[in-house]
Amino acid sequence: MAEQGLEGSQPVDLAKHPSGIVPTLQNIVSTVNLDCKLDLKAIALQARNAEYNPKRFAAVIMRIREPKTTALIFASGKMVCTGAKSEHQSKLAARKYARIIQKLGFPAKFKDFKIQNIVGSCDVKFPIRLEGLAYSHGAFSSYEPELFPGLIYRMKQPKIVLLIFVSGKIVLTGAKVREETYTAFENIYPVLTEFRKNQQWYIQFFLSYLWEELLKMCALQELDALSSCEL
Amino acid sequence: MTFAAAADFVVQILCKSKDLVTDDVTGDTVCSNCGVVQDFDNFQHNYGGISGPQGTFVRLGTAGSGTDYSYKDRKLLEANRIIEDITFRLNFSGATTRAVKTMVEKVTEGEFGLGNWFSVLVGACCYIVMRQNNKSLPINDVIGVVGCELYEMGKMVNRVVDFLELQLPEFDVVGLLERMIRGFSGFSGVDEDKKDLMIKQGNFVIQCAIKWFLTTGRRPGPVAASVLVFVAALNGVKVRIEDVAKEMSLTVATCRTRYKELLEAFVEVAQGLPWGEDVNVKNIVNNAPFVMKYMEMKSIEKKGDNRKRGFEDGSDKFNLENVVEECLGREADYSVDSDRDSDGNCLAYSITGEDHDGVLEPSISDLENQKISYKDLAKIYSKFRADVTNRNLMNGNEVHHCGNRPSGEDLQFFDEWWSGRSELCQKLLLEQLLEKDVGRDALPPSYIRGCLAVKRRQVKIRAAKLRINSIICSSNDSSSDKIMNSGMDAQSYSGNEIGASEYVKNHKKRKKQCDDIDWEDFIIETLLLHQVNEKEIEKGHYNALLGLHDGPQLSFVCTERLKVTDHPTASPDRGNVGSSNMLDVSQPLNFDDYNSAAELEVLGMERLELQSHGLNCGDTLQEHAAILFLLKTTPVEKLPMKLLRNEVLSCLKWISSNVCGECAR
Repeated sequence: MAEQGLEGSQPVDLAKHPSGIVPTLQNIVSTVNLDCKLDLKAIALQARNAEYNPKRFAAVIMRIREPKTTALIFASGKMVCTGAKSEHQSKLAARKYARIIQKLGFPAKFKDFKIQNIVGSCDVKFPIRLEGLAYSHGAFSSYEPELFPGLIYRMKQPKIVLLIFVSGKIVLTGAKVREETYTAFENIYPVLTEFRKNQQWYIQFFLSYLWEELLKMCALQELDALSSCEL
Repeated sequence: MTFAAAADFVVQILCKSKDLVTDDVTGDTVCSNCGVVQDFDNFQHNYGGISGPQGTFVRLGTAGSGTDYSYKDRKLLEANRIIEDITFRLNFSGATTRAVKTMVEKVTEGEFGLGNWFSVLVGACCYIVMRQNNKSLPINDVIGVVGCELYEMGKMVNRVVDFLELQLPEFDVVGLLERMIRGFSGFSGVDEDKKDLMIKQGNFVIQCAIKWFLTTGRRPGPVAASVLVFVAALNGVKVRIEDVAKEMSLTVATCRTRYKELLEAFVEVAQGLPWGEDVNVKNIVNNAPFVMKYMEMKSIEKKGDNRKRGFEDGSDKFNLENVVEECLGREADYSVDSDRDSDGNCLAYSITGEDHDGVLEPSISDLENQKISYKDLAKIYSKFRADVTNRNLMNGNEVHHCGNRPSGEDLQFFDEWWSGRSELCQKLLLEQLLEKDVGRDALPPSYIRGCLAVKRRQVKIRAAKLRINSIICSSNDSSSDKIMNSGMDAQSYSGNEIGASEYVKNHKKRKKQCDDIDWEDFIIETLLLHQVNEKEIEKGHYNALLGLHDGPQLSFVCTERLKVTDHPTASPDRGNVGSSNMLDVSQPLNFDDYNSAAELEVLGMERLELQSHGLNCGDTLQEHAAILFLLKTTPVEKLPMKLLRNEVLSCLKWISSNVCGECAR
């Protein structure tokens, strides 16, 4: 009943994501040209949400709350917008920044908006033998536990860098469009399954059994609760 | 002559000018007024005295910094000096030094260089050359010699590897351990044979660690250090983790963590022993010989020989008797089983089994040729245990009383348990290693933690859904019923939640498990109300999801709810504040009843438990009450920052930012 209203689950499109896992986009970086010279000091003085420290960095750092993003605004009129969670949000945020600049009295335009980088992450839900992967895919991967705990996999097609961790968590970066992220993940997934650690099925089974029991318990209580509601 | 000079002098006097300038071409001194050339001024001091060099001086190079070499020559010389200095300090042989030089030359295209970056480059080349030769030089050592940051060095290593298009072999942890054991100053008093033994055992242990994912994604240094400490403890050499860490320039805390993980892994393996339940992290080092023996036998999949002293600490009398009984029982079983076995193998085992003194080497070699099934192995184990028990029962009294073994017996003891015949003592390829069975097959700790986090989130989602459902249900009723019902529901749910949290506690020893609603629950509820897929929430990327789904209109709801739930008196019926349509009725109910902190104290510690409100509370009841009483007059947002816990701070920040909206513009 009400629960179904809450579910709101869209099934994963298996044609597009044969692995059944869709990477979550974590960060989008975009650039835009406002096409006018900017007086950064004036901006920093007038806008409340701006910080400017020319000694440290030669750009105004401005933040807005909705969508929650940060922008670097340079004197040349170029702007970098980071922190958005979708392409649409990134563009919206960039527009908002441009509008703020306009309101501060600069003839800002909105030219050459471009997504520069998309970062996604996901979890394949099984552990991965990084040593084995590094050994057999030596040409693409670099695994140096002394330097970084993850394996860095430089995929050539699409040109994406993947950070693969022993826990089964994956970070994908370097995409210009989100499809590249998805393709890269679908490319790597079969490779990872090769190096998946043989899990102890009985432990898994035991855990899932416990879990089912717990859910049953919850469901019972829920029933109780519902009946008491209806009373 | 004198006359001429006198004439000149006269002229000068006549001119009366003191303005003498040097003629550029001749170098003579000339009076600028009358043009008379002054003589006796071309004298040049004979440089170097009478015996000084004769002839023309030629100066090399352009920079007049006092050396007689050009910049380039000087640079090459300095560069070579740096290379030699660094390789000398890393104890490289001549050939390795030459290899390093060649590599540096190749990278810089014969230019070498000067400056800080150059020594980093040399360090990187040293590291790469050693890696190529499959010798394990920890990058920490190189950094110590060169004196730069790890990050800088790592970057340089990567650049060189990319530039030369090399493929580095995997870092050799086993080799590193061997190097560490040989080089460790704490083992200076230990003789070579024992060191060799320790290296063998160390190889065994560290390869198990590799198999158990204890090394994957971790820096090799601390793992190797922890194995070193463990092996030292096994062999009765006292070594402190701090000392090892200091000598190898490792982080002490990391070494401790790895050591703990290693011990836990061994405890898990020890569960395969008959007295496994009594083994814990505290006594595992005493039990380790047996565990190692067990693992070794498993790994060679052959019957071991000297499984005598089948007991842990002799002082544990009670335990001993249990084991004895258990083993005796099993022996009876076994005799029946072996009778049934028509296979000739079993007879052989039973014969060797009767051999009390562990002089089984010949029979073992025979047996190694035969494949033995696991079932058989298990039987043989129990048979052996039984034998041992019998023997120990007969001459067991001294075993009972020896307590912490004296060192003499110690040595003899350790000679016995370790045969070192397992292949795991040598370095194996990863595939071979993975095929070995050492009695435990583990998942990486980070993976387990990830699974537990997902489970915890599932529980939270479940609870949040129940809360929301209860409010949706009760919203149709009259308001009085509403309060009562939801109060009831809240109680039942909080009970449910406690059950859930206990479930989580069982699996992961969490320090604190509050059965209350915290910031995470709010976020989950908000997301659920936004119809976010549960699977997405389980992943725990709250920021990403909030960014995608959270609009300004709902953050208002969340603010209101936080205000309400942070109000102390809302705690008994906190379940009913879980939704937007309950805002008006869930105002503080009986807060006005209390006029002083003292009155609040009467309620007792439990009621005043401030944890759920995200406040740092004091230790005493009085402090609790005082802080709580502040809430009567002050909204949460206005409370002093130090009273708020971090998660609440961030939650408040997030909420206020969403509510304030675009006020920046």
